[in-house]
Amino acid sequence: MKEIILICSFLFLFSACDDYLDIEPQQAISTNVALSDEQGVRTALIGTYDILLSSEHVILNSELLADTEDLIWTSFIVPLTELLNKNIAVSNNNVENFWIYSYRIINQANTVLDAVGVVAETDRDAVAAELRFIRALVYFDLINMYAKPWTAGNPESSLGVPIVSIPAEESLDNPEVPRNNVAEVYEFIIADLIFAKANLPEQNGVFANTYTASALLSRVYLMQEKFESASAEAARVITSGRYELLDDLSQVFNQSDNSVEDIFTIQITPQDFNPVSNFYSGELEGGNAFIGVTDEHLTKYDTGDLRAKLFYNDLQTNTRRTSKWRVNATKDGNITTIRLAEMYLTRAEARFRTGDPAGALEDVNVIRRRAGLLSLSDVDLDVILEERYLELIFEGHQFRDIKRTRRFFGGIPFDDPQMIYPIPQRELDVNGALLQNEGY
Amino acid sequence: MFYLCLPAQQTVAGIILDQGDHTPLVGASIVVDGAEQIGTTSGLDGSFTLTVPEEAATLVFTYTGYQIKVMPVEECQNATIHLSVSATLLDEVLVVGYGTQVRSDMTGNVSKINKEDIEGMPVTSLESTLQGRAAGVFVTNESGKLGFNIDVRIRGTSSINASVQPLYVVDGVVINSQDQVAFNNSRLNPLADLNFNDIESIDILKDASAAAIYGTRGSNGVVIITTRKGKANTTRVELDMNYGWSRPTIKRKWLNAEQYLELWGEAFANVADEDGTLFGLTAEDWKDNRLEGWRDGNDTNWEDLMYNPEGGQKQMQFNISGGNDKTTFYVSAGYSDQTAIIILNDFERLSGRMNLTHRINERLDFGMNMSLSRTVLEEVPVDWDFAAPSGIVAQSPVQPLYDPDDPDEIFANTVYFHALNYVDNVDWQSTNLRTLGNAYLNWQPIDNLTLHTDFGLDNFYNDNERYYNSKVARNTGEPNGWKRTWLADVLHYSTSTYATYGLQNNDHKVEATLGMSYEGHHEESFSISGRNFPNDDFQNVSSAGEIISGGEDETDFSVLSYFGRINYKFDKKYLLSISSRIDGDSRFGRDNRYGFFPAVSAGWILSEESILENKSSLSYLKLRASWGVTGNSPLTHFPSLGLFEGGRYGDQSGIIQTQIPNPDLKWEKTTQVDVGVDFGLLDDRISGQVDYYIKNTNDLLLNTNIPATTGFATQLKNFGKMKNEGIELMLSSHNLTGAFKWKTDFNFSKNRNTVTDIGGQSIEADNSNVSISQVIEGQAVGVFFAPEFAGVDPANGDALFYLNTELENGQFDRGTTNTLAEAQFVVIGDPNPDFIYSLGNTFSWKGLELRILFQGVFGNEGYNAGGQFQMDGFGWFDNQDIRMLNRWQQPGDRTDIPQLRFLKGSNDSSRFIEDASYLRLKNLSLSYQLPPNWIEKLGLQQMTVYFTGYNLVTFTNYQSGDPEVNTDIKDYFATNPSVIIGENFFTPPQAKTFLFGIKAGF
Repeated sequence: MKEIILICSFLFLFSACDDYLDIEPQQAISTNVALSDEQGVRTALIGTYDILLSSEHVILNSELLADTEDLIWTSFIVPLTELLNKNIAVSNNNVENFWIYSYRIINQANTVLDAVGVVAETDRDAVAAELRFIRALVYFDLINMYAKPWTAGNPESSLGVPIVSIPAEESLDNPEVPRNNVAEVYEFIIADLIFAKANLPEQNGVFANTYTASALLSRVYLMQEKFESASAEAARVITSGRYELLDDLSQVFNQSDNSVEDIFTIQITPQDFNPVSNFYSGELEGGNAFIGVTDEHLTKYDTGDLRAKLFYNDLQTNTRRTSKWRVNATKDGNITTIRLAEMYLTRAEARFRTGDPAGALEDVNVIRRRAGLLSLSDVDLDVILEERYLELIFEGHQFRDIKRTRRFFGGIPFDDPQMIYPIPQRELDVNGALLQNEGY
Repeated sequence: MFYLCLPAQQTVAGIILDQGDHTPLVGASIVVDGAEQIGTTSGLDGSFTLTVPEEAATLVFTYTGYQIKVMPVEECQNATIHLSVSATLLDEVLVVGYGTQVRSDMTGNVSKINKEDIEGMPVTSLESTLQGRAAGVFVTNESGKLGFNIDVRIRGTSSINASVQPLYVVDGVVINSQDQVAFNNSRLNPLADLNFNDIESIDILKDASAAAIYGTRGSNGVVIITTRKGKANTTRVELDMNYGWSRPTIKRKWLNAEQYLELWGEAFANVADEDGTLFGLTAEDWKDNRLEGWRDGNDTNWEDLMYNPEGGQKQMQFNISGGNDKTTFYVSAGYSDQTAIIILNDFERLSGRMNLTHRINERLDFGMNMSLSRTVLEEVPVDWDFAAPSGIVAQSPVQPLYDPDDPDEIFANTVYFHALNYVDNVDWQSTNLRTLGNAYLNWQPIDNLTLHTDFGLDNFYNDNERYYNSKVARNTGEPNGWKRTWLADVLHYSTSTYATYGLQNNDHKVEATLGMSYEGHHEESFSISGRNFPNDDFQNVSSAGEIISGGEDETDFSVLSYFGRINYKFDKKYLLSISSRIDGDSRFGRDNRYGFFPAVSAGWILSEESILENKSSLSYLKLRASWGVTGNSPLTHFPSLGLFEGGRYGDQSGIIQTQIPNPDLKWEKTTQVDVGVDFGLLDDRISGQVDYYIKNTNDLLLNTNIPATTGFATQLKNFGKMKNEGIELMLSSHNLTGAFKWKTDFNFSKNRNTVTDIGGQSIEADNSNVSISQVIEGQAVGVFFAPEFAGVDPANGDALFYLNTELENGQFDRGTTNTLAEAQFVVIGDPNPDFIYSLGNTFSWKGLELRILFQGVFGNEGYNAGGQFQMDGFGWFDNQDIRMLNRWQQPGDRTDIPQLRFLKGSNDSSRFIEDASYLRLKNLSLSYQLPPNWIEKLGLQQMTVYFTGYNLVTFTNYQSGDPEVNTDIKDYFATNPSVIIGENFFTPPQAKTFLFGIKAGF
């Protein structure tokens, strides 16, 4: 009997302990908890800004694709070399990652937008406006890289990118979405930006404010050759009184804190990997020393142009590199995305094209004087575009500017299929509704 | 006489001892031949007393794992009977999950490796000792680096995104064997913490009937490690010391300075503009800018500089074992110090172990096994890093090692930064403290029933510290020093309780086991990094001018299981085994938490049938068949939940959606069928095993590609199928058994892996275009996928590629092109071997013993991913492989090396595929046991001197280093690292080691 009792108590150890299998993660929280209150939605909004960095390599990549004479590329990284050679494989992983990361940001924005109802009514639209600003920024980069420019063909029939405006948990039910046309995508971007402009505050620290939305809107309109609107949005930023050009050009770039010239930057901390300045910087700065600048480029600046001083010689390799993307001492230089000089140059061009050469001259001279050059007495379109090129080179504008002005990338016409990213092969493989771009 | 009136009986008493070490054999069975109902078992001191009828002529002595002995009754009286350990495979005792079994009763497939093949090997971790020792077990030491991951695949690869490595169990306790990955480096091997000199045996459960008792973790096989125990009534003290030297197995050849300048000049001339310049610079300008020192007549052999002339090892093992009839003990201390063949890399292990058993009374015993170890690994950067020792071969031979102006300083302006700069300026150490232990209690409340309960603990503490001083700023970008400290604490604990009921009579032998277990896993890690140190003497983060990051992570999982098994043997001929396990795992989705893993197997010992009985040529023959289901769990701990994780932007914290929920997520399910034959010929002089198996894996845990427009490029789902099919042959033969003994062991295994269904998608090993390994439906996992190289156009030196465009008739266009982009990607190679094999021979005569093991891998391809830089016709200033001398130079040249044109023809293609088959003289050991009369004066019982050679000779056609290779870049980049097999990216070769040792016992 004693044995039987003992055996039974031994077997008691077999009793179930199912509760032990319910383990919740400690660094992560599940979706329904994450976005259940205002605090959650607001931190998720910050998270949306955080992942912007993942897609903004496009500032570098579009410059590589656009370049024909300014850069010396000394890297063996195949996908980026393909961009420079304008011979992109459909499996190019930079092309693939840009697609993936862009839609990841879009999904995060969509997911948070879907939950924005928990935010107090007074703040709700402002939160939504920030999310829609970010979404518009990403869609605008997508449409520029994967679709024909507005100026080529008919935007109503050119293939754009798929517009997804619902969270992943819903879009997964029907994930194979087709490409919308270019016009629809622009319409979507503009709707987001108009909403953002109307609902964003005047001031918002390093985050988007109403002028940031206007600045981006001016870019979008310029791309569509809607010069009146582009001029109006740029003017709204210039005359806001919030921004001014810095006297010292060298203070414009790689700053740890936004300057008064910055309209929007991607914030960088020492933990972040900033691919743009890493690739442009020499090894002694802590970069990868992949990109130098040709002698030929230097001949483009007039004598006395302070912008010709925005270069340094990397002693390690005896190579000239741009100071616009030189890793700073604290390794936290922000990525300049939109700055005031662009607004002046956008307005100058738009004014000129809408019959206001005097206004255009005024704007161009603002930029020239800051660069230490004498004012001009009159301008034409070529002068304005050349000024824009010299002021904004390496900042990711050239790719769009050549396309919208129907010029050439060296000998390659602006609408050449090779100057558009292919839809990533991996995406075509899993989404039967997608069509590949011409030429791939 | 009076006693004649009694029934004719006599009493026999004796004692049974082990032939080898004269220790008592407890529980040996003694029966009367022809009357098995009359018998007894030996007691704790090996003694027995048996009353036998007078007509009884002979007694039969049996003991598990020992040879049967038959003796006339009269010789047994007051005799000491020695039983010797069975040398035949069939009598081996196999340790299976939650019990043991004799091989002849086994219906599943288990391979066993004994301590003689493990002890004292010049390796870092026990997995290396498995190489070539067991059929169906494919071990790849991935490089000559010490302390890093070793790839073990049992019966092929059966997963893509979950683990492909077996489960490791030490003394009945599942241990944590998941590779440790600290920030930014390759996977460190947690099994290197175990001192393999303490191992008694390793049992490898391969088929489903053996592994199903481990449920959700049995799919990749189970490696059961049993550590040494003391034996009653003898106290043995053993000391084993050895010292050895290591050198690379194979060196490559590179251009010397003269060849370099010649070929570089030729390449320049081939691409220069008409005026002899490139980007406006002449060849001299380029060399002056980039190859400082080229005019000074340097001829540096950089390859030699990656090797450490001090490479070698010291090992010391000291142990005492013994006990009395109630208590046994085994206590050991081990020290091992290994210096890699490459610079910077060093591994040191200090360990102690204590194994105790104690019998409280006849029905109750308990014991504990406990080991403590401390390992210190001097780490090296991943192959990708210019600072990796093996990367130094990329330097130009025209540049010097030391600065001509200051011979104490390393020359700074080499083409790339290199590892020798790290020697004095970087301190990168990973220190592990490992506590591994368990305690158990066995209780026999009634005859034939044993209850067992145990508690096991595996605690792993890792301190990984990396310090870079100001002198390596060229590689780190940190002019004032940089430091990162990473601490991890991993606790894996488990408890199991089970009951075993055994019953045996003439016709029936039954053993049933029923139990449950619970395992918990908790891990925490913490990291901090800082920079800007006052000067190079300060190395702690507290002295850092700036703390740049910090992090803390914590995660858990748990597994709750119920298991049972019945083994039944009828009429000594028919065997049946049924087992099953139910596993609940916190990592599975809420809707699929419990998995059921059944297995059935049966055996028929044909040699016991009357028709085959007494045929001495065929002494044993058994047919086996098994079927069973095993599982494989996800690698991450919360794969089924929808998750948001933390982030940061503009000084504010944020959260980011990182995973969408999948409440249906469950284990990978592998169904395995195995049929086999065990046989013994000529009184088991020759014994062997042949098996054929099919392993079908369904519901793969696959990071399935989904449209990225959803916000996620992949989702972990149970999707896809994979198949492994193979044969295994194991032969063991005692060729000569006299004074001169000769034994031969042969293993052969062939496995064919096919990815049968992944929804038509192809899965890249990584998405950074570094690796060309892929998973493609209808192919083996990890095939190489790239354009196919068609040689060099003799007319102009262009690299040519096959178009391989699919034509309408389903054929492929075999036309060639010199434009890479026009060539289609095709499968250009398979890194999985057609078969692996080994041949071991042991010769012994008197005290002399010679052991020779050859191990081979056949039919696998290797990809030299570094070829894009090593053979790129100077895409940059990298030194080139010696094969580049054979380049195309003038029309009509027939060669497979294109004209030198700075990069031409160097993209990934089959140009860099090589046959990576090899045959190695893996191990040669010669030992001599000194005659007792020589050493008795020293008070020693035994003394052996030995020589061991490891990886002594390698036969291969592979030309890019050692064929047994796999780059650790995968651990750094790849999203699916286990898919990458056989890729070489400046990966250092294996070591060959010679060592001398001495072993003494007293």
